[in-house]
Amino acid sequence: MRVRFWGVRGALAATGEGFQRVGGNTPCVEVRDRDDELIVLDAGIGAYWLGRQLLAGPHGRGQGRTTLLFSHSHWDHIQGFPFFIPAFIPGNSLRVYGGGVKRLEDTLEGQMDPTYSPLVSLSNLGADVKIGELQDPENQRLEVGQMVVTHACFPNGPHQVVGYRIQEGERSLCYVSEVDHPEPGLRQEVVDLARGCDVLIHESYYTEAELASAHPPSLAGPLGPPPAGHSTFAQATQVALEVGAKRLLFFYHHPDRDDDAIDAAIEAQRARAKAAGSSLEIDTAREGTEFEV
Amino acid sequence: MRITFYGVRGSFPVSHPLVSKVGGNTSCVALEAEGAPTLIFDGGTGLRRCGRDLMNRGFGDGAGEACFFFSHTHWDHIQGFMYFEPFYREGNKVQVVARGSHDKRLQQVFAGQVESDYFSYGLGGLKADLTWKGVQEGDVFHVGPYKITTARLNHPGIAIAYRVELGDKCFVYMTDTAPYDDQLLGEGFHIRKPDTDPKIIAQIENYGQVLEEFVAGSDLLLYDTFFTPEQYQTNPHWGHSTPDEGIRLARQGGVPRFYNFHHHPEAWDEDLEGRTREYQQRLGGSDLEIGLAREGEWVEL
Repeated sequence: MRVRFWGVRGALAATGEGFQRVGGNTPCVEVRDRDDELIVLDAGIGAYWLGRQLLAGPHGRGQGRTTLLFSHSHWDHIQGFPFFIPAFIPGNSLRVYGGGVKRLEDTLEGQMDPTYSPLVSLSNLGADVKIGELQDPENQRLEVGQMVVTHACFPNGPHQVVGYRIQEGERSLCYVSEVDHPEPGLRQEVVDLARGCDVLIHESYYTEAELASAHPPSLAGPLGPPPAGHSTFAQATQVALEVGAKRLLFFYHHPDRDDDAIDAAIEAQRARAKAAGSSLEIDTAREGTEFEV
Repeated sequence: MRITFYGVRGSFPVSHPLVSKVGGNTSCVALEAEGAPTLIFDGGTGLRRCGRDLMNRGFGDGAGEACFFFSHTHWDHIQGFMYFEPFYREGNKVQVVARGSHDKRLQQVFAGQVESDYFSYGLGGLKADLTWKGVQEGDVFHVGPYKITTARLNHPGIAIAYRVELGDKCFVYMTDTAPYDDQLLGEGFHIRKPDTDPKIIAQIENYGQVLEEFVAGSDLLLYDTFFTPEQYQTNPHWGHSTPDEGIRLARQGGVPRFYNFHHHPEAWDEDLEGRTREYQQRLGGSDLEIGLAREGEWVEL
């Protein structure tokens, strides 16, 4: 399996200098099996840049296949969907899956509503688009080329989030884009999903000090609503250690956390894993980097 | 009056090293004048920094007064709305103006984009005193000491332009729009298909003429220059324009300053800077000043 990050930022894009080493686009991850079959995890703004890149291959000729898996439908995870160019090219096939409180198809149709978008309706996308609900029994286990996808749903504030595990042969990747863990402890659904995986992509929106404070930093300032439903660098590390992952990649960074602050958090967590006697590799997901699982 | 650019990008925010100088946040422009409410044009991602700045100017004490003017409610123009800090301080008064048949429907539009499947909390979390005002193209009204006029733009779903007059100063905010050329963009989904019905062609001419009069005599035209002329040729139905069309409007209306705005996501810093210089040079000895809207910069009128 090959993985490339196109968006690693949470909530809002982080623009400008100071964010470009890690990247500032909202979530989007490209996953390929050995035959180049494509899975895309979430369609934040990174999906625009991914789609643009895909045009050089079969997706540019109307012969491309994409399986798009949404962790949930909050705006930062779907805002790149209307800008994913392969979706407009007749002949391309796009299979979309997710699971929320509302049917995914209704949510995406709402995104295209003429009030909010010039696309008006999903039916105006030129590609062959099929939308599946993960609640349906036939979607509990998805086969995409050589890859097998399983998932876990867990509540996150008033909504629901899906975590994914993608397996190709002996190799496995786990994607947890947003989650809140109980304090103290870890969310059991996530531990079960990630058990023994090779690579864990886990959100790290907060530092420990921020989450522990009476008012975690809101994007709307000190008076803004304290955002719930997120975890810390330390909790991500704890999950990786608990499940015996080989490699942990921090993901869904706070839009105000610059490259240097993320580097510092990585160093702190590496020290922590080392102190625990673990050989866990720790880094952040970085836009533009590609690696083999 | 001072006009500050907080977000100058179209379609979606751009995080890329090659846009760091001009800026990657989506549309948001603030207009401030002594003793008058703050006017905010569109609420793209640039609105977050705008709100933070305003907290030091009365809004932090709950004594601020602002009025939003939305060109339209496509997502890139409203996506910063929930991150506007003054909303979370009781006492601030904020009016929201956008094109709409009635005030309640307008509130529903903003509530709809933050329903629980799209966002973690709703409009109920906002503490400021909010009022909603639906307007139509051609409306003339006052907000505090400002006289506001609106005009219809050529954009799918229909956007409107705002002309703001205060004393002898006048500012025109005009995005998103295609030139009134050979296709009328309105409700519904559009593909490239020039209109042939003589009635529609007459309408296009009429709207175009209204826009020329609308711009005339203003001090600054901030205009949708999303496309180069070459890009426009392939996508005229997207509802975006070129510097050429904007400069034509400005010159015809005797406007002294023209600013490029609502930049294409892949218009890199050096493209935009080079293009702006070229257009200025091409004008030769003309008095028209061609500017480039950059995040964090302002224009004093």
